[in-house]
Amino acid sequence: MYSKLRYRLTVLLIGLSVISMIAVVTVIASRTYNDLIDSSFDELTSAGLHGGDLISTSINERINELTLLGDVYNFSQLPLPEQTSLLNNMLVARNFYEQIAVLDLNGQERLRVARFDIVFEEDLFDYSSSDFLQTILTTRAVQISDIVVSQQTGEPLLRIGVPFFDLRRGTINAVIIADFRFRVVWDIMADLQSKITRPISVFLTDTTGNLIAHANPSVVLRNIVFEFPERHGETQGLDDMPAFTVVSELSIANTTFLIVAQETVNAALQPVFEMLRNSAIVTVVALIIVIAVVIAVVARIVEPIENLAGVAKSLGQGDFAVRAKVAGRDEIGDLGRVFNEMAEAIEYRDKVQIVKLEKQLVEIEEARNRAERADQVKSSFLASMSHELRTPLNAVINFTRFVIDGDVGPVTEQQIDLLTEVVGSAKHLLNLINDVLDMSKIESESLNLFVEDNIDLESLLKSSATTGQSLIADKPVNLQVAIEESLPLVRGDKQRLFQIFLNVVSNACKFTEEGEIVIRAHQEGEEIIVSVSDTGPGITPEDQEMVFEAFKQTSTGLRQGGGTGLGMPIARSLAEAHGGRLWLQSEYGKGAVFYIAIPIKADELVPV
Amino acid sequence: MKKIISTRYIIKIGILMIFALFLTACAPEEPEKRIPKIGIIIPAPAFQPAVDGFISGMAELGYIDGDNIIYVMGQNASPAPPDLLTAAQSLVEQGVDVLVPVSNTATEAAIAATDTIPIVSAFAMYTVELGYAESLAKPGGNYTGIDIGPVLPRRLMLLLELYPQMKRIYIPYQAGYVTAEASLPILRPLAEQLGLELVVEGFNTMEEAQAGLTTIPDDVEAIFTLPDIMIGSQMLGDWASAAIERGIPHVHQVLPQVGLLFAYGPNSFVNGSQASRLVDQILKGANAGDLPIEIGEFYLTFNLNTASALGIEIPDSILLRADEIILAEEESE
Repeated sequence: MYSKLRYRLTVLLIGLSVISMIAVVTVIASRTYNDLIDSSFDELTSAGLHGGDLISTSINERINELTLLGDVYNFSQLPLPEQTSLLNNMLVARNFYEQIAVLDLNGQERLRVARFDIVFEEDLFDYSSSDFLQTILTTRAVQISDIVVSQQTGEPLLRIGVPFFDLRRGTINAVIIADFRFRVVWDIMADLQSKITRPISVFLTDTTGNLIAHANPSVVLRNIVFEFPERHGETQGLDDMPAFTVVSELSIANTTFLIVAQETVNAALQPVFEMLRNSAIVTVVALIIVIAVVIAVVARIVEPIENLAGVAKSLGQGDFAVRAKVAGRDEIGDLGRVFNEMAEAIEYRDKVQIVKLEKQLVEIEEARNRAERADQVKSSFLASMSHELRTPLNAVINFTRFVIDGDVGPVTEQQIDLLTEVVGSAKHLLNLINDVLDMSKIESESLNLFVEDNIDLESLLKSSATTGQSLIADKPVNLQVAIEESLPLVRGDKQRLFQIFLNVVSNACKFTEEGEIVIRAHQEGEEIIVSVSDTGPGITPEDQEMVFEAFKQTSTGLRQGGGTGLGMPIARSLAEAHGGRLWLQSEYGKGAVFYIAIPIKADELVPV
Repeated sequence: MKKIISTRYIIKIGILMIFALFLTACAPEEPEKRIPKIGIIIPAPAFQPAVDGFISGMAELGYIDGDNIIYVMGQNASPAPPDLLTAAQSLVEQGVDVLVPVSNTATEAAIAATDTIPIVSAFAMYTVELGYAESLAKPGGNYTGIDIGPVLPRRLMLLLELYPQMKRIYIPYQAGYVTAEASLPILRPLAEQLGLELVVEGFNTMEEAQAGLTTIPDDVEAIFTLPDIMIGSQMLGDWASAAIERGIPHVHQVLPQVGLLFAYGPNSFVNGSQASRLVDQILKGANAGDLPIEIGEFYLTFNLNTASALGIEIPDSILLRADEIILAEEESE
């Protein structure tokens, strides 16, 4: 299935679509992500700066208005009741201070007004050992303390110390210590927070990270120590969530604060997450549509091709009537039309070919008939001619014997010799006629075997040896017979089997001038293997096949003379008719061995 | 003309598009956010400005009534504590998310009604002294709010600034009212330190208080009323008139226009607005007990009509402190 064009094309197109969609979404998400981060940091920076401006403005305004007391009112030179009244005005009217105290150079409070308390003389403090006061006196400048907590209200307070100077001497003649209600800064941060549309958190810390102001006062009360980011821009937020962070320094008088603006990464990147979520939904929907469209489109493309493939297969299987479905005017449609034209051409040619073949078949049939008739004629001819030839030959042989025997009167020795020659020639001619007749039957496959069981090959071999002995009577050739004991009886045509052995033995006797001829027989499996070996001249490789061709004689045979060239071909044919084989092994100059294999009980032979 | 696109093809695409639209429509929507409910308990109409300030403050923070916030007013038959408790319990049963009581008695009713629902008192005094909170910085439990307690000493000092020779001050109050009773222990030691004699008289009923108007001691030099419902709210104007008749100043924390010489105390509208910030924090997840109690902002208002009636010239240095001055012959509604 996976090699199918339809599958591969569908997978390819869907894969390309998916990759494209993912690539687009990834690019857009990546850009949006970067834009959002930049936007977040811009907003954080802006919020931090804005918050810092508001806070520093608020505190600096307090410093200014306290400083104004000296610059405008020459505060330290005013009588105590006026100082008290002025400070009360400031306290009540401005609501920025928890209390305001005036210290002399010894650090002793001369007066103090408080927002809620009535301060009596015995309540006045001694600041002489205060480092804060010493710093003011030393630096001769406004100082700001760390955040302290009001015992009465629990509010955070920022202590501001302002030195007043003697106008003529330039020396410090009084110090105002005002406890600025730092919750004003909290209020500023809360107000700032409420105006920021993004989920940005802005808060204030000191340089060691202690959180001192936040829009949510409860966060400050958790005594959180803010860990400044190790890596620019990203840190753990106050709620332990990863957050983008911008830290700005805020320097007021001698003190540095840090204003921190944070936005959780989740909140900052929420649009990306939403975009990705929406994109995922849209992508899934689009993917479903794409899959359906691709399947449909691929089907439209591939179906004609599959149809063409089916048609081609049918054509290959010989069905020339099939035609491709042709639709559309594109290349596939053109291919279909061409295919159909080709199929029509093939079908037409096939029909023409069939007609020719039929015609040839008719001619062949006629030729066959003629050949059969010729063969019949030949067989009849041979049969009749064989009879017509044998009859006079037998008469010649018999009557010539009569004369030789003196049955018709005395004959001379010379006459006897001549007449004996006549008889011999006539017998030779008779053998030739018999061989030709046998060959004719073999070639026309009309040789019929008289099949019987329990034929004793040993007796046949011995008989053939006896006949062969007569052929080598005047030659120094020793003829031996070596037959395996208990040789099984075979099925076959006894006469023909004798003919096979006789032909082979006669052949050996004919060509062996001296030495020996050995006839052997043994069982080998389901066959009887008969071998006739001689010490004759041997047969060259070129002549070995000629041995078994009709009317062909080897060069040795030709030199020997006296043969028809049919004996071995007839013997082989008869052996094969019995389901056996006949072959030879020979080396020129070293004699030859002829082998005959006869099945003991060939299945194709049916006893008569 | 041969069809370019088969009908079956169009139907298939159509079904797919409908399915796609269905999927898009079935995309998980954001769960509908529950609108928080704020239960408000006010004992008397006099406290309405605090409620108005609270709702105004909430609006500034983006809470629109009916849109993303719902205000449920407690239905109390009277300012009596049992009725306030019933109202508070009713609000709890209605499943409010935050209770906003206005006044100490309403706060006590809210505290009695629930120990789980956050309570943000928009107007209460002595919240630590009365046990509503563990401390101002960290109230604990489910309580926080605006405390307007530490106003009395300043008010007393201001009176003495105007009348440095004053020795006897009359303090009529609603006997048994929580904030009035809590104020006396603060005033007494202060008065002793200042060399003042406080003539304190508690009234149990309105009838007694009415009768008291005519039995103001002769030698008192000022009337200093305390934060309670009866004297300090319902009968405030009567007592102010009585003071003017006697030619003595009457000072209170609110409502100078009824004939007080001055009022120094919380601006309930502003206090209500302060409370809205706390409620906002709670709605955003803060724990009420972790939010510090805020001290209410105090406002000084002089009534120059009363000053004129009393024949007193208020020095400029003191007038400068005023947040508001009711000018002579200017009538406020």
